[in-house]
Parts: sequence; C-alpha cells; structure tokens
Amino acid sequence: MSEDHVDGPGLRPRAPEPARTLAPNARGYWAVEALGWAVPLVIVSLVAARGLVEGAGAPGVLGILLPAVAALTGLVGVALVPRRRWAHWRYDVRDEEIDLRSGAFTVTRTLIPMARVQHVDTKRTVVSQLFGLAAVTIHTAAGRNVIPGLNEPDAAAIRDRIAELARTPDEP
Amino acid sequence: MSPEPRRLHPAGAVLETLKAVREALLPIIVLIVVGGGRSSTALLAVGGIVAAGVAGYLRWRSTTYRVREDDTLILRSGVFSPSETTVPVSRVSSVDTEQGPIQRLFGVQEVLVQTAGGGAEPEVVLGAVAEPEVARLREALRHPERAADRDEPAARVRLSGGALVAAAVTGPQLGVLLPLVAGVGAVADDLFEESFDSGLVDSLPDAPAAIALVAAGLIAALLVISILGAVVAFRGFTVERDEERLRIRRGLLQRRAASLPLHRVHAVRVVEGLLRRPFGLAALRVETVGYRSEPVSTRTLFPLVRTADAPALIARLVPGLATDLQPLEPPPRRALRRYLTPPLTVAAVAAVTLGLTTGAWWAILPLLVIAALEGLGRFRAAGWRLADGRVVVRERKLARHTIVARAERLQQHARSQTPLQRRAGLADLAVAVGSGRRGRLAHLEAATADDLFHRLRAASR
Repeated sequence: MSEDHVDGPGLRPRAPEPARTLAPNARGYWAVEALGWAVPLVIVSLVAARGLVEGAGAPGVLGILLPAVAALTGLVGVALVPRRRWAHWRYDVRDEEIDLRSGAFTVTRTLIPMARVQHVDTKRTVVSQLFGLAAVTIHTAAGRNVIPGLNEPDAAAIRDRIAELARTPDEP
Repeated sequence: MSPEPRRLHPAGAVLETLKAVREALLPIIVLIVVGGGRSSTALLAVGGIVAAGVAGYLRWRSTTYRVREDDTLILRSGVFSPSETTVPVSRVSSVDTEQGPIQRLFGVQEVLVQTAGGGAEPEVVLGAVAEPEVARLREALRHPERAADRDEPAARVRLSGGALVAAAVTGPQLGVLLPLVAGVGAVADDLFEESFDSGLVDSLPDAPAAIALVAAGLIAALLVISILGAVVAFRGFTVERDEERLRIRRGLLQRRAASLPLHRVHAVRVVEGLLRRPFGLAALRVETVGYRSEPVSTRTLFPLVRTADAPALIARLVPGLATDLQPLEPPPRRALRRYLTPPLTVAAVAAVTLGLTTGAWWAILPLLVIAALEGLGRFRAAGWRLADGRVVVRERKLARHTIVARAERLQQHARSQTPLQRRAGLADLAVAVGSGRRGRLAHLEAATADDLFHRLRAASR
C-alpha cells in the first residue's frame, strides 16, 4: 500500500510489508465481543428515548432517531469493523524488529525494534477461548502493543520467539 | 561498609513519631470534637501523642539496614511483624538523597534507593542517614556521589534569580489561569447585562461587581500560590554533569538532589508554554526510562532558557543529544486545511452548545478565531529533522513541544493513514521515546512519511 506513493530513488533498504494474517475466526470473535457493547447500547437507547419522549416531552422524532443511531453504530461495530480490521491486520516477527499493521479505518504500521522489547505475554479471555484464540502483548518502556486474534498455539510460539530474540542484552 | 545491621540516625525516631501522629490525627480530632473538649478527651489526646512517640521509637529501633558481603541491600522493619526487603546491588539504578525540614534540623539526609524496572515508588527509603554514612552507603551500593570528587563537573549550570522569577511568572499555571480570568470577566459582564434587563438592578445592584471581585481575589490568590510554588520548587536550581550522570539540585524548603545516569536520558523536550513563546523562552525536560514518576518539576532539566540557547544547553548537559533544532522540514502547504479542521470543529461544537444553553451566541466569532489561530499555530509549529542519528519532532498542543531523541533509542515508530489521507496522499508519523512520551507529525506527504519511517528503521539497528 505504502509503496503506491513512493517517488524517491529508493536507495534506502525498505522493510517489506508485514505478511502474516490473523486467524480467520478472529472476525467472529470480534463480532461477538462487539455484541457485548452493541446490545446494551441499543437497549439503553430505547429506554432513554422512551423516557425522553414520554417523560420529558421531547419531540417524537427523537424516539426513533436515538435508537436508530444506536442500532446503526452497533451494526457497524458488529458487522463492518471486525471484517475491515481483519483485512488490514498483518504482522511479522523478524530477528531485529516486530512489524505490525492494524486498523479498521485508519491503517497504522508500527515498527518495534527487538532490542526495545522488555517482555511479552499472551492473554486469553473466556470468550476468546471459545474461539481458540489468544492475544500477544509486547511491552516496551513506552507502552504496549497487542497482536490480537491469534490461534492459541501460534500465540504461544510468537511469544516464545519474541522472548528468545529480545533476551539479547541491550540497554532498555 | 560493615555488613553489620545498622539503625537509622535517631532523627528517624522523630520522623516515625510524626508519621504516627499523622496517622492518628483523624481519630484524635474526632475524639476531641465528639468529646466536646472535656478534660478527659484532652488527656486522651495527650495519651495518643505519647503513644505515637513510643511507636515512633519502637519503629526506629526495629528498622535496620545493611549491605551483605554478597552485595545485597537488606532492609528490615516492623515491630510486631518484621518485614525484610532485599535488593541486589547490581539492580540498584539510582541512589537519591532528599532533605526535608526535619532532616535539615538534624543535618541528615533521606536516602531513596530505586531499582531498574521498579514501580513509581523507590524500593528502599531510609528516612534519616548521617552525611558520612550516606557516603559509605553510596560506596557500598556503587553509586558514589561523584567520581570520587576528584575533579570539577564537566558542566554546571545554575538558574539565576532573575530567571527564577521569570520562570515563576510565565509558569504553565498562568497559561491556565489567563483564559479563566477572561471567562470570569465575560460571565460577570453577562450577569450585569441580565440583571439590567430583568430589572433586578435595584434589588441586587452590587452582585455582579461582588462576584467579579471575589473571582478576581480568588484568581490573584491562585496566582500568588502558583508563583510561590514555582519559587519553592526551583529555587537554587543547579544541574551538574560529569562523564556518566546528571545531578540536579533544587528546592527552597525541601532541598532535593537527584542523579540521573546519562545513558537513561533517551530524549529531551523543549517546552515553549503559551506565555513563554512570545518572549522566546522555554523549559527543558528530560524523558528517561524507568525513573520514578514524580511531579513535573523533577523531570525538569532546566526550568527556563532562551529558546535560541536551548541547543547549546542540551549539548552541554546531554552531549549525546547535541543537535541543531533548525531548520525543520514542515508538512506540505496543502495540509494546512487539515490542521485547521479539528480545532475549528471543536470550537464550533462548543460555541453552538454554549449558544443553545446560555444564549451567548456572541462567543461564536471569538471562539472560531481562537481555534483558527491554534490550527494555524499547529501547522506552523509542525516539523521534523533527522540528522546524525538524532531525530527532532516539533508539534504544538497549546504549548509548543520539541522532542530531541537519539533515533536508535526510539521505542517504536509508526506511520498511519486515514481513508481521507490516503486519497490525498498524506500520512501521519509518530515516534515514542522511553518515557512513553510520543511525538506526532500530522499530514506529511505520504512519500515523506514512508521515507522517514524507513530511515528511522535503518537507524534503530
């Protein structure tokens, strides 16, 4: 993608775009996760709209508009975002760096030098276990980055590989 | 240093007593209030203070520390349930000393031992240690005061009295207060007009004036407090550098001394506050890795410097970050619109909300003008530079921040693009330094952002 806009002589060695994708069922997992906030949002909006129209005498349009906006937001969160996010997600763990590309709409490519990694861990939630998924969290002094939606064995392998590569002593 | 367990200086008992009194203060006050000042409650209060004294003495007696032959610092404390803290000397990352009022009274120091990767709090705090013992302890922990005091520091910079006053007066607190003054003025004006309209002017003729007066008094008090705060924090500010570390001393009541290993200073930030920029003044901050998080004042490398002199001062104090701050490469002109949009949107929403709720529609124009100026300011401030392995990123968020970092020490860097930017061929680039601080360059040419992304990658290996 980024190569589309390159117009320089290209003398500098460029990192290849990261290539590995997340587990395909990450989309389903994210959709289920999104239901966790989308359903309450719609319910709250229905209750609030009823309260506003009948209780506070707000114009009747609001009774439809508010739940409609909530439902649309929920629909985008459940149906659209997980797919787009999955389509954009790429990662690579190289000897000297971790290369991530993420984002549902805004696409961000992040490069973490291996020497800066302080520690890595994997995380599973009750829901992610149902899908056999786990997330790898990479901690640096500046914060953390997460690779979500990996098959559990993949996640463990990536965690161990990063831990192995990051062990090479260096300044933090 | 002998491996025998040692007690703190007896001043430690006083400190512990005061701590116990502080802990017992609330119950004592409650007792006095409930008791209604009868003599029996007064007796109880006195008894409580005596008990605090005994507790302080016992705590002091039971607290010992030593550095064992196998190079571990051991701190034992606790009267009834003794606890033991063990810190390997190899993991000690800094030994700081502080002197509060009590320590000053007894001529002793508080010693704070921090380890790498530790939390915000120092692992070991020794409340009262006599001067010669501090030196021995530093020696045993292999963090001597300075390279055996043999030569003068490589650099020493002191904050002058005039600069202290200038720093206090143009401090960041004022930047917050000034709009407040304007706001209160506007509200007072408003009240005055309304009371005029509704005929209340007869019944409450002085109310707006009184409100304005109280508000002005309050603001004046806040001003004095913030200026005094700056003087207390920065009085006598001195930075020294030797080959390995920075030593920063400051403070009027509480003399603080902190030492920072130079290799942990990953970046320096030049902060030009709203009130400082018009005078060409700035503050220097250090961005370090794994240092105990403390108020902003401790992360100050120098409280006030002419912006033009900042590169020279950085070169003196942190030679590893010596670089020019000019010229910076700006974002393309066509990005200006995108810099203006966010502040204008926020201002428009705020103005409409204000108008709908209070009817103050007159505020729209000033708010939009301020927002446009901020957007323009952000556009003009934005810029970057990458030369000799030093990366400089400048951006404005009310104050203008210039981050200077060694490219090879960046924690990560990222390039991002929204769908709109993709269509326009623009992209953002962000860098993160060890303290977690991020510098963001918005709306660069996508090709420039890519190039920078790959140059930073090359620099990090």
